[in-house]
Amino acid sequence: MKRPVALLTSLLLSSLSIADLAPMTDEDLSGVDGAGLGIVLEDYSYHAGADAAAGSLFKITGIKTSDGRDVEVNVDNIFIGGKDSAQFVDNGDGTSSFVVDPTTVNIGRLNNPLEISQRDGDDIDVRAPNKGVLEIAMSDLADPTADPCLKSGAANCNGFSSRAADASYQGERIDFGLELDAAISGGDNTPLTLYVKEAVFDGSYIRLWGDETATGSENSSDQRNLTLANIRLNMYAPDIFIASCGLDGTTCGDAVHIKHFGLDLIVGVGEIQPAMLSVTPDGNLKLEIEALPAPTATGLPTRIGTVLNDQSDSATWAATERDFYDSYYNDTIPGVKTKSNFYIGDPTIANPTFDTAGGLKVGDTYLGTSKIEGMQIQYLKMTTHDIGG
Amino acid sequence: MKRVLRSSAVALFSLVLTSHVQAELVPVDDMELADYSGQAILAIDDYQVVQSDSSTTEFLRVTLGSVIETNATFDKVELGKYDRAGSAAAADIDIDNLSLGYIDPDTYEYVPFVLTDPYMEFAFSDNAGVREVVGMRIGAGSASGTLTANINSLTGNFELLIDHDNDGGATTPAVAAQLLDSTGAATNIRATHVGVAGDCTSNCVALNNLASLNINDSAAVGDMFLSYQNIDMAWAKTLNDGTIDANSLIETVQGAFINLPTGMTTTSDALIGVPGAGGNIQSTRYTDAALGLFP
Repeated sequence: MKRPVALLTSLLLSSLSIADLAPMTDEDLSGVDGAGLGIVLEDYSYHAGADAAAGSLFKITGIKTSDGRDVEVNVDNIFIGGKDSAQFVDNGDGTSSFVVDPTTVNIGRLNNPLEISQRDGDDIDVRAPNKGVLEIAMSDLADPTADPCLKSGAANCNGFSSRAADASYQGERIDFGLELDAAISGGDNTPLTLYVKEAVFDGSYIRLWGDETATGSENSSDQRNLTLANIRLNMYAPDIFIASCGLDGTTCGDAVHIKHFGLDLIVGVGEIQPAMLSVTPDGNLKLEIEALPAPTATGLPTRIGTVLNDQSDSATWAATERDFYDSYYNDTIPGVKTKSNFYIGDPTIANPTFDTAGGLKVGDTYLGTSKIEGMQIQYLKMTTHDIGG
Repeated sequence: MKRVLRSSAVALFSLVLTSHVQAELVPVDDMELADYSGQAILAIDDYQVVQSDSSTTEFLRVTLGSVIETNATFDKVELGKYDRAGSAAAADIDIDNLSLGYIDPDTYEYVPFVLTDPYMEFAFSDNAGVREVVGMRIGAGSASGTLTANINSLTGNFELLIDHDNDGGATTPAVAAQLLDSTGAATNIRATHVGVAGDCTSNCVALNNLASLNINDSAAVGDMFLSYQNIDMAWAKTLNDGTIDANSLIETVQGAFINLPTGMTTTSDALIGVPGAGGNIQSTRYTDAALGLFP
């Protein structure tokens, strides 16, 4: 009885105190830095949909084929865990079974946790001057030697702050995966299995801030109070499997196996090129990355000049127009990255059991390493539309 | 009693909050609500193709209903790098300085590359009752815009017509260009040249010396896509309205493969941007000398 009364009292007090809250201006917020919350999940594991045969699964309905037939996507064996949370077990007949039994993992470290914090937009690694920026970040990309693992086949990928498991600790690298089955009315069931081993997301973040003058790319007279964003998605994984394992997961044939996956994706560059997510009047989503402004005859474009000259490195920034554009295209603007990279090392299509043991057998296919280096999005507008038949 | 109190507290809390924000809310009436319907931005399709060896391949495609306009540059695109018998090139697809879209030389505005309804697709074979992944591809229902690149090697299809005498085909019909090796022999595996097979003296140009290309889907070679497959196999064409035509196939070879429809009719000179011949290397960065924005 005491607890509900206390709750009621606190709620009433809360309602009274609303009147005393005063909004912080962008100027106020930009003066706040480092205030935040560190998060570490110790001994974490998650496993849902372990018994699909008994109906333990997620169903996604409402999707259609392009000619209007219903599609039901069943998702089971969703898991997050530590090293060797799943394995392909040899059935002895050229097939394998996908067995999930998650171990535990630490997500984040006490000396390098996941963070939700308020950043000062004037910091040169944020470059959103006079703004308070909300940042949600994974562990830092602590060691510069880890960086090549995101964009090339570096042999030593131990430089991340998230450690691989060994005999003395379980580490902070995450195994995750799922099985899904697309059941199409009038068609086949198509099961797909995804298993990512010992993934690292260090250095990833999402930064959000508001801009009452932002307009997006279309109507310059329409100021829309948009939320602006910068996203950096880093991912390294030594093994990724994509297989088709039958509806019960016990008959996996040959699978795609990527032996070194690296991703370093940049979406938005400070307020130089912020990303904007909005909804169109007809209810569709729109993602924009603002176009890089063209040079002007009178010096740096206003937006670029504002960003550069308000930063704490303005004294050292040789802010001629040509310097800025060279720095942008060469990815040498101090503090921020403008280019993305993508790397797929040694992909094979082979029996995942044999492949895990190392080496190829006759009949396996090696597809060759692939990479995309230095991707720079100078402008992007993606608008969704209704597609279902 | 506890439940009553808890409910009361929640109700009171809701009312208190509501009193602060209700002035900003505008109700939506039934007539207005009737105009809203679910937006299906994803479609999932399956289809089958009977391959040239009479085997059947099954496909699963996930399409994102969207229009993507972009200007993007890539320093290096290297796909399928491994030793391949009979080829000196390092990779199936090896491209430097790839650009999608360009900068208008008069207005300095971006002219974007446009992709409609991008998709990801998986191919499966049936091996004695066991389903196996044999390939995957990404592409778009339609693609249009300018592509500029130094192509070191290309495995795939590259569709354009070469008009020898530049008369629109009036006297000598334009002929379909082929991917070639450095000797002028036709090949669609790690090709380094494009032109007319056996005629690498006058109608053959190096792929790393091309002017900007106008990408445009056509019925002949279908949509622009990039695929990986572990066997030589056929994928279905996608029509510009997004329809999958499983009776109209595009043959691909093992490894990485790109289908590049241009819809262009051009000359060898225009293809490499000889001044006055009709082809241009478009600017893709504001610092490009051709724009003349900087000394």
